[in-house]
Amino acid sequence: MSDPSDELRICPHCGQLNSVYTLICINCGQELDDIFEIEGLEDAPLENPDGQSLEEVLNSLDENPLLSHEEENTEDSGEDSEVETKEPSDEEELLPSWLDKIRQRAKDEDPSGDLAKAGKAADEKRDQVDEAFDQVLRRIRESEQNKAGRTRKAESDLVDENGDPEWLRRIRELHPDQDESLENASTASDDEWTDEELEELFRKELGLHKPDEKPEEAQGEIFAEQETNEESQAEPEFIPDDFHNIPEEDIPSPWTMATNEESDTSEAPQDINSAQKDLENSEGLAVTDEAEADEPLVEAVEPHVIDDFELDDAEASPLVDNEESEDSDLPEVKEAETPDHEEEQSENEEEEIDESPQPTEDVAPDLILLRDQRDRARILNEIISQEGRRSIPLPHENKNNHRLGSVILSLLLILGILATILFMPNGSPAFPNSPTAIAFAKNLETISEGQSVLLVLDYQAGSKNEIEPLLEKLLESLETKNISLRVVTANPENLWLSAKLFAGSPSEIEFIPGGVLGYLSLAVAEKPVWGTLPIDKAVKTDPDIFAGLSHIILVSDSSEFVRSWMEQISPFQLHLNTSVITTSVSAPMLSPYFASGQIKGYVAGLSDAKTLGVEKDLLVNQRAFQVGTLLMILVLLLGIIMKLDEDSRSNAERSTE
Amino acid sequence: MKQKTSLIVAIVSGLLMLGALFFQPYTAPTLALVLNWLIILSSSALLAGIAGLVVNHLGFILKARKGCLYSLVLLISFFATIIFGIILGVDNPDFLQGLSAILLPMQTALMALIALVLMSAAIKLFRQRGWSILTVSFAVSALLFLFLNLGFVRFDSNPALQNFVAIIQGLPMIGARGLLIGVALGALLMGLRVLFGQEASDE
Repeated sequence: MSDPSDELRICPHCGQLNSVYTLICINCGQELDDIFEIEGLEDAPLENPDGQSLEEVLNSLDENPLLSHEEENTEDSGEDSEVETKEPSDEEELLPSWLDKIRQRAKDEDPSGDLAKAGKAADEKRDQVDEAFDQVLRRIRESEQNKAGRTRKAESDLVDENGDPEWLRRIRELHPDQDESLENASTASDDEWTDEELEELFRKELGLHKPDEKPEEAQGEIFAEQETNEESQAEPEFIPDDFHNIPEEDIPSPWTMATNEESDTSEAPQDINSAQKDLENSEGLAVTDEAEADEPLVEAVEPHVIDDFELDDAEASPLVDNEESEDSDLPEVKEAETPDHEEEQSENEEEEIDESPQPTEDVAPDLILLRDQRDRARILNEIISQEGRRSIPLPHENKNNHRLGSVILSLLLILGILATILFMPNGSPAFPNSPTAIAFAKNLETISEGQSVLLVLDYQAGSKNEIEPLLEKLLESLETKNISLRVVTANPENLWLSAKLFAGSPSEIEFIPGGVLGYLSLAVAEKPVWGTLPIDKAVKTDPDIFAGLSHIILVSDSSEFVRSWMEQISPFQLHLNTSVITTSVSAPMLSPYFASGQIKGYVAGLSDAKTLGVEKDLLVNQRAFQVGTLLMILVLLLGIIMKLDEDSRSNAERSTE
Repeated sequence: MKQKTSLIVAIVSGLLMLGALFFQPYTAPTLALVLNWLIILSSSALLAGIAGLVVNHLGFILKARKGCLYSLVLLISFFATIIFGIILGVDNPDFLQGLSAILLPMQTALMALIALVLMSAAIKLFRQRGWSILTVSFAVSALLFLFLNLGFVRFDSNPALQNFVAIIQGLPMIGARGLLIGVALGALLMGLRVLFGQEASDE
């Protein structure tokens, strides 16, 4: 703890005790620049109070001698030792010294001056007052620390369990009456000092009269500032009970003020508020987040929030007291500043009314929020409000729109094709004859009467309308040539799917088990000498399906089946001419085999139907096919256009950024 | 040892099939026998697969798992097909007509759905994949061949243009040939890895 003499200045003109941060005397208004040379005190950095940061103000508060009182009392009480860890100082010894200096200066000055007049009421019993005052303060602090010790847990850091910082607790402890007035009176225990008891004790020790019996002069001096701050009656009471840098004679006792709270006690916070406003304005700490009232959590907390001014009042109480004293002693200056001050005060009050209609008198001290605490509450509120919300849009966020678009596209395709089928003639394929189809037709023509042809079926029901017209035309052509036809399939589906085609035909569809392996097993065609193979018993007729064949016609909608046949089975039957009836989808995969001569030719669905002379009535609707193809082209173009539009938008956004 | 056994079986089978292929007239009976074994094994595997499918869906129904209604439909249709097939015979016209009445519209609708899915994929392709060689080449080729297959445009009067179109229409064959060569090389490499024991069959 620093020497209190370093923290206070005595005005050489009037003897008024001033703060080291005060440039002019709060009593006489004289400049204090040369005060240290005269007094021989250690030079402290004379900074402009307006340029001080809040941290410096708080530091000055920590170094305030009155705070050391608290710590000392904490030591004496033996409780809350973990909360208060600093060593007590010898300020009790120093306090009378600066008081003596003040008094000595007051004696040296004109006794009829303001200072002497202000301390005239208690000048005679000054020693008794000092002793009694210290005793009263000690009792008050003991009671407050006992109360705080019951409610607070031991803390190792500067912030307690309520989130209140150390300095705020100290300030609250310096203003126990305020805390008590905010708390419920019923919570007070019997072993604590009540306001009335303390007031009575103080009055008894001082030998003063009751407040209603006080001389008018003394009251007029004590509450000199009341006249200029009439409008602040509604403000919460604030009793500067224990700290001051002006003679105690000028300060009303907290208990006296408590008894006159209706008219008297409101002036101190008002002046403190005004001083604090000046301080904050000068430090750029003006409250700017008043617009946060629309946020739910803040609104919920707002009625219990005391404005930052009120909290920062306590924070900067030494300076405030200085300025308060200055104001009280300079009525002309105060009166000149009063209108503006009142305007600011009224504006702030209006803002407070808007945000917190509840007066701060009803606010419990634990619910008092500082600005940073309120900011934290606001941030917490934002986090809570954002909980469950997606901050990043997911790719499937517009799933409904995508579904709607898909539905629209599907309906467009379906309705277009349906309208074409219902209202348009079938049309005829206008495609030129493909080389593969021409080769297939030529290979078919090479089949002469009496030759055997193996027809291998492997297609599904979905391809029926594309394949069976070609197959039907092929069967007609083969029947006209009186060709021995053998029909096999390894796909059970073809047993019933193609049954109608061979209903009047002497040929019967034979099932070959095992798929391609069954065909391969039959293609090997070498029976072992020790007996028959299992597959020979599975085939109804002659298991040698490749015997005496000249041509093989594969009817399949699967290019994989054709590829397997050509790669696995054909090497064992190289002498056979193989041709294929397939779909348009599978045709491109067969083109290499046609180009290599492994396949003599193939016809691919609708586009090659003309080559075989298939009547248009047997084909699917050509117009419907064209409409569907056109719609697919449009959809593909639409996708390209949408991508281009998206790119242009993103480029525009980048350019703007 | 277990891994080595399966590996040895795989290698011997591969060498046997290769030998049967190269020395075909002499090894053909052996090859046919092995193929019959393979068919029997694959049929047994198919039966085991069917049994597993039935058991799984039965478990879904007993556990009342979400979507068990589909499992119920599957099992009902499966057992109905077996029962009617055994009673009526697989050659019964009524039985075949019933199968046709179910499967034909179902598979046709499936093909139509494929067309719709392809349309949806076409419109989403560029938005999801962006501009790349793959997407641009796909778009160009798709538009080109869809347009050519419309049948609206004929180039019979212009032989040069007709030849150009023929070259364009030969592009799918080039792509298919590349695919087939790639598949063949992959199969060859895989077979060699099995033969040399570098591909564990049970992994």
